Amino acid sequence: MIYVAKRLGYIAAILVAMSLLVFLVTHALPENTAGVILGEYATPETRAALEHKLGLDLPISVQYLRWAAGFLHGDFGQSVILEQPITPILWPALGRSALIAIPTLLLVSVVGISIGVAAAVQHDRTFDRIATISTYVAVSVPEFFWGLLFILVFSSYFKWLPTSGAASLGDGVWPMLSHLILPVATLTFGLQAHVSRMTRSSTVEALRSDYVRAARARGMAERTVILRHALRNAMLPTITVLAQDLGFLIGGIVAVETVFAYPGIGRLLVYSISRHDLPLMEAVILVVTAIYCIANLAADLLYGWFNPRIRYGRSLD
Amino acid sequence: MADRLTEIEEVVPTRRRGLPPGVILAAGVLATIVLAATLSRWLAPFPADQMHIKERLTGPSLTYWAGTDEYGRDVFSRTLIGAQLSLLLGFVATAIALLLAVPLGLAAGYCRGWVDELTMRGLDVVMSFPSLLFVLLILSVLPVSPMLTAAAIGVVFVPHVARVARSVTLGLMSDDFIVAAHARGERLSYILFRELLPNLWPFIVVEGSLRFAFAILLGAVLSFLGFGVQPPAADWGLMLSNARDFVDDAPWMAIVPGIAMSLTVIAVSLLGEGLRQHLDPAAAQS
Amino acid sequence: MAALLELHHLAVTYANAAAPLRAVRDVSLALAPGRALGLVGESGSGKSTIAGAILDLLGPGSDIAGKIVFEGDDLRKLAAHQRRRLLGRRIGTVFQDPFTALNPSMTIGSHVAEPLVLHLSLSRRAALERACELLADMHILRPREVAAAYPHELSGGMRQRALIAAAIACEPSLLILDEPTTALDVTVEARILALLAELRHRKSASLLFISHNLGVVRAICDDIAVLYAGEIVEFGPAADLLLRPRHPYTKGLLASLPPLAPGGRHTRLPSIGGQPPSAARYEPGCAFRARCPFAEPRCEETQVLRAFDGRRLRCWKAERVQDWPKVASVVPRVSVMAQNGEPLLRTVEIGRSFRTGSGLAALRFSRRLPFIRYAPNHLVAVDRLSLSIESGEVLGLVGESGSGKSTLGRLALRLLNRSTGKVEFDGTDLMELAGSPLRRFRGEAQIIFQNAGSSLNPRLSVGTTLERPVSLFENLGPQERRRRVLQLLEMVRLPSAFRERYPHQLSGGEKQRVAIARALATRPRFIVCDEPVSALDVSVQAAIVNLLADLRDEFGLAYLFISHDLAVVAQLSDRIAVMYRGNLCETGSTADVLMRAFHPYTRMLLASVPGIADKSRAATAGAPLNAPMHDHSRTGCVFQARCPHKIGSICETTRPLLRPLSPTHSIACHLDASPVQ
Repeated sequence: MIYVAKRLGYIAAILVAMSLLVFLVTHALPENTAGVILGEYATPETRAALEHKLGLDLPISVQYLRWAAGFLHGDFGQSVILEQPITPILWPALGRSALIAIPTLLLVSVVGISIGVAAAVQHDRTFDRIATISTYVAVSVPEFFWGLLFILVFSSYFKWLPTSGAASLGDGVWPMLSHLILPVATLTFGLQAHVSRMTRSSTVEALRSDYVRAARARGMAERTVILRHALRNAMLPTITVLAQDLGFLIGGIVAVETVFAYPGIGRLLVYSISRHDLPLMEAVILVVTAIYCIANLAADLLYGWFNPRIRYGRSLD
Repeated sequence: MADRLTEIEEVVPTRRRGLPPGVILAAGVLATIVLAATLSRWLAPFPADQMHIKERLTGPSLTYWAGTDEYGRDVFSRTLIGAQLSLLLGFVATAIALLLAVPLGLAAGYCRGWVDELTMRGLDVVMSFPSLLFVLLILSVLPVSPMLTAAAIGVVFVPHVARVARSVTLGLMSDDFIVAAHARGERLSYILFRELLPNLWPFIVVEGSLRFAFAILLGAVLSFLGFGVQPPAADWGLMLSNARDFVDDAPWMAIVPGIAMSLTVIAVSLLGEGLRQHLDPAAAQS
Repeated sequence: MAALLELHHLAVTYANAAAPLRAVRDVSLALAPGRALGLVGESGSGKSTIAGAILDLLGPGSDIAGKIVFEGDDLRKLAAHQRRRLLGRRIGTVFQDPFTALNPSMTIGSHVAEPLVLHLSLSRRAALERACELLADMHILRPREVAAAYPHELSGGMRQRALIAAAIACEPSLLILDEPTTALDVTVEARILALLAELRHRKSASLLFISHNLGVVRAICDDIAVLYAGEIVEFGPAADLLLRPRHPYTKGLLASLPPLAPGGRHTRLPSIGGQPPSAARYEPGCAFRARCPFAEPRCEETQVLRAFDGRRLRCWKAERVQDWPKVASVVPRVSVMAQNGEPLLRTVEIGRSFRTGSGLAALRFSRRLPFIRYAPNHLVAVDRLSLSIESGEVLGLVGESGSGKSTLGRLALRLLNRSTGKVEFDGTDLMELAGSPLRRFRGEAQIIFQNAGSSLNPRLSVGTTLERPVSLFENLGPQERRRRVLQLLEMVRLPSAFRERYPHQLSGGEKQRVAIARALATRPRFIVCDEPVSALDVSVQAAIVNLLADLRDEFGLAYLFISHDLAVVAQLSDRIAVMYRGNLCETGSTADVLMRAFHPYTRMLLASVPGIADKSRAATAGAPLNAPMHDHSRTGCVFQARCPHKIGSICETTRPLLRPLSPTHSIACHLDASPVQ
């Protein structure tokens, strides 16, 4: 219990530190928001006037607090380029990205763990070697290249799936799904490699351990040994690597949404940076990173749950 | 059996075994790529920005070995020249990461206490950002330049490398030869440079090679998204970004640079893994 | 009566890139039902491989020849599933390391219940019930709590008992134990041995007991087979074999064991020179002849196991071989007495505690205002301890794991800073030293470690390692430095060619010699020896102990000799101090502590050491089997929870101080000085 509370407190501190970092970085610019809005019409007087109107001439700490307070209320500020409040743009984009992210995560876990365990059991035999080589290939090729290849094969050549955009439920189940299939497949392909590699190595290590040897000496059949003894312990590092994969997933989503012109949060981010729309950029980065942090926290807690050393730290007699 | 090799106390005064063939192949491929990149200006049949408008979007032929792009530029030449930029970017990023991270990790592992806590917490904050987002954050406020991009990537890698350096240092600190050095009254600089560092650098080399692969990938993603390197430079990421719009008509625009990039990264990764196995055979058995 | 287990010319070869390793060359033995057979050998003898071959755990890289017959069946001819059915059901196994042999994610109860469910088809609930009964049989208090616990929550002794319970759960007819007590403290070991003896009589199971420790084997086994270089060299009844060994190797092994008696400065232990042959390159003839003092040209012929006088021996001249040559007494050159009456090293109420859990883990919630306080746990490693060492004297420091002896060793050299009290070297407080007096101290006080492998920098050659302290502390030119390095190598009896070698090219004993040479390089007056021989084979151990004794005499060195092995300590030390959980229990001359021990813990330690000659010792290990192992009391005597002679409340409230029984002998105990039974 105390463990959980400590982790929560720690995450809260990290979030504050992060928000500070994001805020300070974006506000360290010589050319600031006012200049961007005014564009060619920026003269010292007009700029000063606009700054005062937007509250940009207040001391940094006050600006930060106002911004942070707004955030906690769900108000992410105003986009300067789109001239709209950010919040109603951000949440739907996030939702659409989640439609890609969540199935990807599930698929990555299932596929990665299965391949990893199978490769470990078939250690050094054909399946293992093939799996290892394809892991290297999958990890080394960037997602956007896979994406382009998939587009080439499935959209241009076979013309089965659309190459870009998104559709909502209102347009029908298949249209919505068909826009998701390629992005999800692209991401899964690359990310499952990390998971399968880690699962493989931790399973191999578990199979070499003394307790597995002792279990075999008690007459357990190999399959029982793997499932009952080895897997329980091999899964722990896999949880850690899944948490790491989240970071890669986020980076991958940005790239994949660009390749497939999918209107998710990744595209929103790229748009905001290329147009120097600072409030939008800050908001997106902070929201995405906060989600990443919380997901990592969940993974941490899950790890603690499954690892008896952390769950039951005390010792007897 | 888990520990059968310790049962037999073998004292064989031979040197370590040679490298496996796959690693040597990877090293060879990488060396070829690096050589080609360095000599690209002379090896490339055409300059990177020379346009042949009349022959735009033509497929591979005897003149244009990998076809032409939308401006009629030779894809093969641009791929070759683009290698230079990608490799350079990867190298600079890795160098910056190592130069910053190794001392940090060493210091944290050696000093422990509040130095360790402070360093790790600080690095934790950086690590709580997904890598791409952090680089984008930094790049958004900097002027556009390939070198600055490389520097930003290097900075983002610092926590990962520092962690590795720290954990290896921690492992070494529990080895008694460090205590023996204290018992001789050795100065800090001697212990760091003559006792710790020589045992640390194999791990650094392995980690560095893996970071190199990541740096190339990250650099490519950045230029694909439109940051980092700007047109009309020849860069793999940029070429793939252009190729997106022409994927139906001219697939070779995407395939050739994509394969070149993949091959490079695979070669570097294999080399890194092979080195890891060579240097630490017990742990690398998995 | 048909034998339960028979091995016929068993041979195991491991495939290896360079050359095949013949771990087991020719082992034949028979184990009758109800008997206990001890398999004794040092590292590299092949003893663990034999267990692996019987249990079919060796993996694909091994090639097995010969027959393994169990209850009439040739195990190697059985189908895999038939063989598996025997494991756990008819053959139980206990491995060496209780810390890693348990699955960290499974409760103890599940472990013990597993074979019951698998082989006896009990329901899970019935199996868990039976598991609790078994744990209670192992004299575990509160078996239900232990059954629900995870391995990391228990001590080493408890874990091993749980593993034994799992091994005998299905009432097997054969129990194989591979070094089951090597990783445990000697007092815990004594209890486990008593438990095994009891089990043997109750269940009439046969035991195959594998160990390198002759005393332990003596306590349990009826017969002993001695293994050397993959072959059995001697086989016979345990008591007789150990009292009257016949094969030269067995003689050498027994001769090099330090007796549990004061050694004195004159004696040296006999030792076996050289090393066991490499498993990849065996030469024809007797494998031991390179190290045998009785070798003759005829020993180059292949030796066979033959019967003689109730034994089986692999030596053609065993009848005529004399005792292992003794080592002549030595006349020490340097006197023990201090030059100026002031002790060389003195600790005054020295204390050191550690924070366990720092950083984030140390934050705790509190009810008062900041609601968070930083309160890390404290572990008191050394608790206000005072002792002294004279110049040229050897003080042996004895204790089990957790006693704080290593910490004390490092405090004495200012490698750790003290929390309380002070350490004086040559009359000066160590904390006051700085600059060149500190450097001088560093040269005069050195340390050697237990794990020779990690005490040498793997990237530096022996010559570089030895040259560094020389160049630090002496102003010599490069030629003279080289000469000094060669001199150092000679002091530790290593050939000068070793200068070019790297640590991974040296054996354990050789590495330790290099470490000793490095310590000598600064011309010290005092060396802390932190378990220097504990990780070495018995035959190598004796040689290193002799070396340390010779160096002590030649250079007038003082040692703080730290070890858990009382016999080794007794061999080298003038005085002994016994530590328990950070406190001194007893200190006195070696004779005082060994023959006139007073403190209950010392007596428990002495009673727990399994002796070669006396079988009954191991059975009476002081405290009853089911006494709790750890105490968490902060006040009073540290030992009271385990003390069989606890008086009463005074032991709980007042910490006993060190008081003299005689000019040389002091104890810290509330018991009356009158002799205790």
